[in-house]
Amino acid sequence: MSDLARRNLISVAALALLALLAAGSVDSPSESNKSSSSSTTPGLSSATSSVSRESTPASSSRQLVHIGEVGVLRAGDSSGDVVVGADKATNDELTKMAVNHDQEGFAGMVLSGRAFLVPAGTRIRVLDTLFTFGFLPTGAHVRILEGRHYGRDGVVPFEWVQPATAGSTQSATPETRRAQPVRSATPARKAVRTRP
Amino acid sequence: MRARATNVAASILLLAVGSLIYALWRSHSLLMFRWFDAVGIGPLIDRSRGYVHFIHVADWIRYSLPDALWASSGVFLFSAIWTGSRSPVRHFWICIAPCLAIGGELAQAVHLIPGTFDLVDLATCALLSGASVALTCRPYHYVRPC
Repeated sequence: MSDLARRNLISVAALALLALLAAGSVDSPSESNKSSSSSTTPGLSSATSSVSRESTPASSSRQLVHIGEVGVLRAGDSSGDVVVGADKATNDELTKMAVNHDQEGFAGMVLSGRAFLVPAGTRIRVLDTLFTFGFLPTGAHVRILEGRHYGRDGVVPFEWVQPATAGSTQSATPETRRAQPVRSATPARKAVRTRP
Repeated sequence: MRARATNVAASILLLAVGSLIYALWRSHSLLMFRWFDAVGIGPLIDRSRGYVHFIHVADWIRYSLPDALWASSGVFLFSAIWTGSRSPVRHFWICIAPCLAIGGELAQAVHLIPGTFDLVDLATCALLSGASVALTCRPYHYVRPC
């Protein structure tokens, strides 16, 4: 291959690279779906989200809820309650208990007020992302936006915060963190105190 | 060889600065943020945006400079590729990025492509591209054989 042809070939590749970078600066086509997650009109957004979830399940499950945006809490594919730790240390402890199948410890955390339960699908606002090793997102600091714990903040595993448009997804956090033991310990109180 | 390395470094630096402006100060609605999410650095970008949100950035830096930096980066990149060549084709390649950027802006003015024509965009792009071409067209940089 001659020098001129080689340089032309490299130039075409460089131009393709520049074009790819430029493509990143255009508006995302899926943004219209995503914007419903930060909507303040729950009735309308939930109605439209169910449609978009059916049509594009793969892409919506990959969407993240960014800081300041509104999403929902869902423990993987479970429709049960979600355990929210009051702070990062509690969240870490809850995850450790889940790994150790420490159901009594779970109940103790809830009874002591260091953790609380919210129904799956509860709307939250993401306040901050918590990192491990400075770059791995492992937790999310969230503010509860509806229900009995309205206004309260807490920390949950990062993957439990999902866009309002997303369906249920597989979670890396152990299933025992999904509140079944604790819910059975306090069934009546939850039913009475849940706000419509 | 030194000229080629300098041009490549300048190209990368300009692209990095432009990308940083996009990532830290531009709207989340851009496609690149979906890419950031896909590769797993979305939360990191979010955190970084949180750190710099209080820094006021002039509109022309936020909206016009990145495109101009992209065009200039192209000039340096193609200059690096064509360092040492005397082929007239080199002029085409070295000018292609500014031509695309400026041409795109002009095409927006006559509604050939979607977008909003902005004179500041055009001026920034023309100035920065012109400066880059002037810098790289010195014989030392790309006519002289490596």
